[in-house]
Amino acid sequence: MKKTAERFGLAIAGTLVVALSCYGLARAYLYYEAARAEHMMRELGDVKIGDPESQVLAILQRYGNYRKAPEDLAKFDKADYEYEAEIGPSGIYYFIDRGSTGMFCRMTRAVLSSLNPRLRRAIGLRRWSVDGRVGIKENSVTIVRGMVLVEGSREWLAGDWTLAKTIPRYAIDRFVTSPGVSWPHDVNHYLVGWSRLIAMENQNGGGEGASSWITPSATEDEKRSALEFRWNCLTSRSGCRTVCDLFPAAVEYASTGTWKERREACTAPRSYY
Amino acid sequence: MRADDTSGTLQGAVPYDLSTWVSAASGVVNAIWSPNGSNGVPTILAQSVYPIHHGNNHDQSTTPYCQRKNVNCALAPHSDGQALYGGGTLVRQVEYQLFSLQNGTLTPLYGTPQIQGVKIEEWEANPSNPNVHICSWQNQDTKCESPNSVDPPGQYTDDMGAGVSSPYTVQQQFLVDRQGLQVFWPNPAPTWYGAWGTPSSTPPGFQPNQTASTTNGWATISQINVNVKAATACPSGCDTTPAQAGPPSQ
Repeated sequence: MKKTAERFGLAIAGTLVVALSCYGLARAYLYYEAARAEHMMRELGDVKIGDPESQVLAILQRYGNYRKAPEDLAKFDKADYEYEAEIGPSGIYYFIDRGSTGMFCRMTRAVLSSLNPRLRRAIGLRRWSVDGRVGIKENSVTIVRGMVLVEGSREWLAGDWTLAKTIPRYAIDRFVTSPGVSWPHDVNHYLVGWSRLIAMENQNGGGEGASSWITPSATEDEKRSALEFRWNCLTSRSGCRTVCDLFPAAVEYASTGTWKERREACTAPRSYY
Repeated sequence: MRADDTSGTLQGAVPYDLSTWVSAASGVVNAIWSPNGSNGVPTILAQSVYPIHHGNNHDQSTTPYCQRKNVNCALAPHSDGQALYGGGTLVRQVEYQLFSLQNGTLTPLYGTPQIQGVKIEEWEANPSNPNVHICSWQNQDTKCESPNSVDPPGQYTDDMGAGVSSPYTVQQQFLVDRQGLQVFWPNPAPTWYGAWGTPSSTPPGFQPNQTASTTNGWATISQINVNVKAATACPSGCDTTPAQAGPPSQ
């Protein structure tokens, strides 16, 4: 009887040790990948319009699996073709579909999906992905994008930046040419916008995001602002609360409109979980 | 307290009969029934049916603009095209704006001071893919309404694209200040037709104006119960892309 109790106790202790080890390993691995993602975005942020294709491919290769992006995106950007790379072992299928995601990430994502979302978030195993996209025209870079999508404390948070020769007309019309907006920058150099994440799977809920556009003529301050993320949102146990916590450029977006809902964009997140 | 304890408290009390009531009431009636102020009570007549002329700072005491007499609000697309959403998702982006419909003509209301308090809502229901997140109005956090962090009062933008999900259809109803309204589309320009929609059996109270068939990067719109008898003009502020248009060729 005593032996049975001892064995039972040992089994519980063993299970606990294994569970804690798995948790520790998962956290450590996500920290490591978040650091890689940050480096990838920094390197992409240094790419310039007109840089040779080979230079960008070398960057993407350093971060593993990269592939051609869907043709409709390249057509939209008026590029010959685009490459995309994703770091997101804990991500969801939002910017890049399941079929274009590597086997290892599909497995790690499946494991995380099997956990109770509340428990998972409570123990700091947040879901996130970081994507880079580069458009090529006549063998040189014509457009560069960086996107971060992370599970915040109340909703999904996204931030993305685009470096292009010109800022698209639709973005200027949407975010600046409205009554009650006074954008303090030259809109042909630097612009920040806002969006609600659409067509997410019900199991993931919903969220919001902010986007920045810069052109080569943006000032150094504008470039810095457009490319800045708070990377601790990916690894913090409690998670970030609003888009502005992840992507500080969004603060200026919120403060440059006169109506209440825009001014409160950084302070009143929705609650999707 | 027991019933027999009441005897003590009622001793000496004067019974309150009808004659007592009439004598008191006659004085009160006389005092009240002198609205000209001769009774000593100054009378100030209200300027409107509402307690305060313009209500509070948000004009909340007044009748919503679109529900006032002689005001006929409608929605129509002001701009319509493909956009890259959130850096990575192509969508059909339709900016609906508020118009006034008078004598068969749509006149822009967007940007005018009288619509500053107007709320536009989009209700979505009956998606063919139940796993996709839609504009459900039953929950505060999944509501889609304007003004919001992008749209000022009088404008509502719908971004339609399936992203990496499979294509799906969804029914859409638009409301302004909690009342359904007509949504106009060119068919073809320069003639616009409005649709009130038809009541749907589910969910209760839902009367979709249109159905959106959403694919990766685009959506086509089909109006429901179009009022083909009322051809309407939109001389300014309306986009001429038809509801059923396909994605633009780049």
